[in-house]
Amino acid sequence: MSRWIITGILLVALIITGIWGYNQYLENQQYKIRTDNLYQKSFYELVGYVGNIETRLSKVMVSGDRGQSLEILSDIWRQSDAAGISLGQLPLGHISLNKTSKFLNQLSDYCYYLTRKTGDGRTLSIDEINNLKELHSSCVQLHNELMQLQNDINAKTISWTEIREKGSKSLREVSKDIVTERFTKIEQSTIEYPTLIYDGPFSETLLQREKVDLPGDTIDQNKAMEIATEFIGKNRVKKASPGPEGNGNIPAWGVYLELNDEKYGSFYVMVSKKGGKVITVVSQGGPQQTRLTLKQAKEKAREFLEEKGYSNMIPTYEQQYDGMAVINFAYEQDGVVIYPDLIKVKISLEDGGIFGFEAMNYMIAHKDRKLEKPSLSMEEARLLVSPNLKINSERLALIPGDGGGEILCYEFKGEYGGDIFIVYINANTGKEENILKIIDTSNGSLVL
Amino acid sequence: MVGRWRLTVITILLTFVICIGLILEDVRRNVEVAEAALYWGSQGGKVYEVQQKLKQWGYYDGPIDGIYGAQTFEAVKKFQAKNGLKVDGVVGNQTAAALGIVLDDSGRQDYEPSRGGGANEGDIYLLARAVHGEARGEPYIGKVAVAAVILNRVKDPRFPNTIAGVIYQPGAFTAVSDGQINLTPDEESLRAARDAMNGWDPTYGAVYYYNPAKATSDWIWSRPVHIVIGKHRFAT
Repeated sequence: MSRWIITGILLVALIITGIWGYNQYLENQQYKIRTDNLYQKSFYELVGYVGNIETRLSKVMVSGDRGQSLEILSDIWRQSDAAGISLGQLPLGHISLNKTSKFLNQLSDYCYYLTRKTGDGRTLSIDEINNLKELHSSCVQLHNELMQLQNDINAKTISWTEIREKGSKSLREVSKDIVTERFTKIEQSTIEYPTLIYDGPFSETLLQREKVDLPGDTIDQNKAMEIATEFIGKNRVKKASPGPEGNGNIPAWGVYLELNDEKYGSFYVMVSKKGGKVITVVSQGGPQQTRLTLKQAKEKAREFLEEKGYSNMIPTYEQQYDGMAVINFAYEQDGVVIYPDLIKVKISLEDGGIFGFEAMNYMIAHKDRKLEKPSLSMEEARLLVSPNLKINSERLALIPGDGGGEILCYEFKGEYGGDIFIVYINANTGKEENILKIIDTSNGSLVL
Repeated sequence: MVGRWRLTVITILLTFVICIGLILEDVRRNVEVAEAALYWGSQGGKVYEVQQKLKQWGYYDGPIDGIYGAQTFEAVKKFQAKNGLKVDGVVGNQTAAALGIVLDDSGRQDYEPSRGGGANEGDIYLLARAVHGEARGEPYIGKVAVAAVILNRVKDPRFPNTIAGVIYQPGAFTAVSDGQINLTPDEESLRAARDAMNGWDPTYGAVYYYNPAKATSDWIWSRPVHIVIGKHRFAT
């Protein structure tokens, strides 16, 4: 009898211990995930900051305006500080890490000093510009190393917690890689916010909260399906069915289209409830081959827009990947590029078919504009561009201002040290409004 | 005997000629440096640069015409006084250096171009991982929408300013809290992430989404819904 009681007690104790242990295990897992998430965040942010710093350091070289230089320098100062903090949070405690950390700190201090100097109305001396060039070179290297490391980590899906804790053989190799190779290459002794333009100049979706009223009659779901089918082409569409309704800036009907060509999967098309305009087309699938050239694709896309009633659209930017091209078009009025009136077209390089369309910006921004004659001439504006920039092309452009509104600028595209920059000079005040840098990637060009 | 004399004479003469050549070259270079300074009456490309710099930095408001006249002279003096240089109205090496201009174009520091980056690949991959963790089994536009919400948050002042910051914000996404974000993303998630990066946003500015069957917060129900895709409601 008493044996049964003892067995019972032991069993209960065992179960309780088991539950307790399991809970401990779960909690432990939770902590592991949480720390790993923190490490991941710090690392991704570090890579991002270093990339931003690199872009900004090169922008200083082609900036010809005090206000702009001040802005860029203080941005480098802020971002290198932030990068230093991110680096400090990584679980890597090696001496060679100190050099990277030192580099970021010095960069931050140096740019703080230059910010103050510029703020006082003093110019950057040639020595200082040379220092910045040297810092830029180091930054290019650091950024390349970090991206390499990022790819390694992504490819092997190694968690930072493991790097810190276990150090199994392969992991030790990776962490050795990190500390010895990637980070020690930085042998430096001297010495806004992340721009989110991944998709062409001035193309950020407008975060406008008010509803936009398009002209025209109110349509029903059936009419929307008809319009969507017509837009893509009756011969391409097999079947149309209702999709999710949109209730954003422009209230819209959703339509799913099933295509004859199966590789494109289904299309989702949004048609405005008022006016019956196609706002967006998203497709699930995509082409598999590349047959057309980018030039042919651009022409086909322009013809498509023309046919849909969007005339005077000129291509301003394009990306090419996976057998497709994404082409940005802007409205052109009297030879002025109107960047806010943006339409994006995704076109297949296999058969020239359109399988992506985005015209929200155009719908919101497009209106009849009266463009005033600028008070500066092209020649006067050109003299305000930094002499470092070798100008290849120039034109007038209307760009969106930071606080809303639109600014008429001269757009100068040019080259410096093998990199391509676009500089915007206010056509009335001569202020340097913006500098964009174009980076060629494996997927076409990227604007920063 | 005669042959050796001749050799000696030729050697001496050659040495002499080389020495004279070196001296002349040295003199020429010095003269050039001296000539490189800009002063009243100078003209040309470098004067343009000086005028341009002075104008940009607010010392000069005359015409940028490449002619070093009275206005340029006064502006240079003002600049020199402000920057602790000798106030003589002449742009010599020191003043030029302070202005950020090289008078003599040799000896420039090289600039390393930043070609061949692929700067946003890492971000696209991270975004794809978040989409894969959060919206597996959702229709394609539901995936694009989830990626778009993350990007909308980056632009929104109420949320962190980086993609990593938004995704790893504590408690923001369940796939991050339970570690599902570490799964390898599939093709479709990558494509959705890229579409969102390229500006496609079926939610038109939504910064929240929730599954009505699971949402625990009352507050989330009060947000205006932009669109319902699959199991998710997208709201601002």
